[in-house]
Amino acid sequence: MSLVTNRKISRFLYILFLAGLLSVLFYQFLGLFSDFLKTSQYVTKVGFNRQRVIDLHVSSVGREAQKYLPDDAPVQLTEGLNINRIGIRYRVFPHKVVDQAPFVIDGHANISNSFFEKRNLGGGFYLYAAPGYHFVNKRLTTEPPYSVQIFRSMFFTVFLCIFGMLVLRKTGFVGISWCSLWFLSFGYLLGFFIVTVSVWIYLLIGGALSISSVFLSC
Amino acid sequence: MDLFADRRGAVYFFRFFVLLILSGIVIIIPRKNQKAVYISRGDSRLSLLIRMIWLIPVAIIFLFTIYYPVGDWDGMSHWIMKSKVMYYYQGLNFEYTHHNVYPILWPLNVAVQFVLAGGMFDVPAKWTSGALFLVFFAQLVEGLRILNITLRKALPVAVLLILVAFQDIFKVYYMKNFINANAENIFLAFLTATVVMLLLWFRDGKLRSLVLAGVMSVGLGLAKFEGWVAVICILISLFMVRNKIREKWPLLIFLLGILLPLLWAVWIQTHGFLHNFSHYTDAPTLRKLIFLLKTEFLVSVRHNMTILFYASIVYMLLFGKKGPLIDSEKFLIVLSGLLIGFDCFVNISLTPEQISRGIPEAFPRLFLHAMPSYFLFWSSRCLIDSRGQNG
Repeated sequence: MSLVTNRKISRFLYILFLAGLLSVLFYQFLGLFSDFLKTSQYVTKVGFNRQRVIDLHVSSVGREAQKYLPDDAPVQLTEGLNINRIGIRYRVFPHKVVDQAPFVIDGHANISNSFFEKRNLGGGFYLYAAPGYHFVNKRLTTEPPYSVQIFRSMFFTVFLCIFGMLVLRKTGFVGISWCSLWFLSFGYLLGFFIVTVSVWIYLLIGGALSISSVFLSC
Repeated sequence: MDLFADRRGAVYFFRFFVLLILSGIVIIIPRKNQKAVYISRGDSRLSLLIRMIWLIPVAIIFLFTIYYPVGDWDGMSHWIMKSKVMYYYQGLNFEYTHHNVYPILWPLNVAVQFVLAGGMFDVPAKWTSGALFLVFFAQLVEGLRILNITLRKALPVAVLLILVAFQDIFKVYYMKNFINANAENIFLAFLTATVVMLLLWFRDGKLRSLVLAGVMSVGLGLAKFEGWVAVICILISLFMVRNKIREKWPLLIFLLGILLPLLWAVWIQTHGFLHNFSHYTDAPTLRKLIFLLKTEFLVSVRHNMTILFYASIVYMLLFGKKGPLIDSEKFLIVLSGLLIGFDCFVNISLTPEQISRGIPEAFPRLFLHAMPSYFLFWSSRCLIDSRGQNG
């Protein structure tokens, strides 16, 4: 008998199928014990501290470099930084990464010129300034606490949800509970679409992306 | 320093959940006639508790998503980078970014949140990515319910799909889908929402469902390049199933999903931001096609999502209901076929070196795009019997 329908099937095929499925499961269970040990080691190492997670997973080189770079100064990355290159480019923005610049981030000790000023960025990376150029010591804007950022994003999500659900009601989806997971999620998607496309159109006709423009578009 | 170093703890943790769900499926589904083993109909508290247990893996994926900072290649390289650039220059300036022909629905939403937050922080991007993942899951479950599959079956099966897509249990350090800040979650959310609305339209024939499906398809087209392809696939599937549609004007909305991304490409070109169109640089040849398909097949037999796909086909042939396909099933299978075909052939213009290097990552990721519609089709054939009733 089939698992979920009433059709009769060959017992041999049924056993063959279950054997295949169970063998995959067995293969997975083999590594399970060591997985638990390694998981406990990981939790011991990182704990539930978000800053430690960030330090472990994401290069902070770009953000460190921002402290020493003059405003709007472009920066050059030495060859061979691979994935770090993308990460540093992302984190060092608004400083642009260009092919040739007086400020250089190097992670392979390629620069041995003693005339270059040097700053340690951690993780084996250094920031160099060519002769005639100097570092500054900036205090970066402090990032709001994680909970505050989450709250702001959550507020925006709720706004999009309510906006979308009201539109859904107008289109005739009445009689559905406001707490229905489908209604909430579809409402969010609809709100997401309408609000973002409105801002997009506003920018296309020459508007600037600012708080007033966001509310104006909504 | 490796940006992706040591995600293994989280990976190990999740392998446990994958196994839990797999075990649950094996144990629970065959016992359909023994109601008391799983859910007693009169015991709503127990049923609610079991539903909550199924949702634990979903909640954990969500928490991972919002907890990890932006660290994936695509997110840092261009998606959230574009958000930063738009926020910093307060407008559509793409001199510093690449892949500018991609529509900006996703990075623009994040840029709006940067404006509201007053800075370029990772949290809005990851939070939105997590929210879109939940939307995708909710739409998937609703799709199953529209196909007359009870929540008792819909939840575990949807969770299984999410888990096998989330983490490849055959590769210890491989955990990519859903938690990243690339555009996959927004794509899956809009794709599934479009499909769900069309399933609703197949069922009740109401115009509003078709109109909302059209609106969602515009969102899909504006989410990423693959979304534009998906809208074309949806329209083809729709016409193959229902070549006579009484109200034709809602189809114009679907056409917007194709037209607007093209207009965006024209805008990018005319403003001088089209630095590069794509990765594709090499002419297609028959020899390369064979090499591509061979590489993809080898990848597919080493990835749990594709293995599950093969197994599900075998299961469907053995145990699935026989008989003619209903309209919604025809639509779902044609759409899945087209999306899988796109996944198989889209990389034909890569160089052989790029194929060897890129396909192990790209093929499963693109394959995931076809999974919601295929999975709904499979559920319709395998989780309800020939009389249209749940087991």
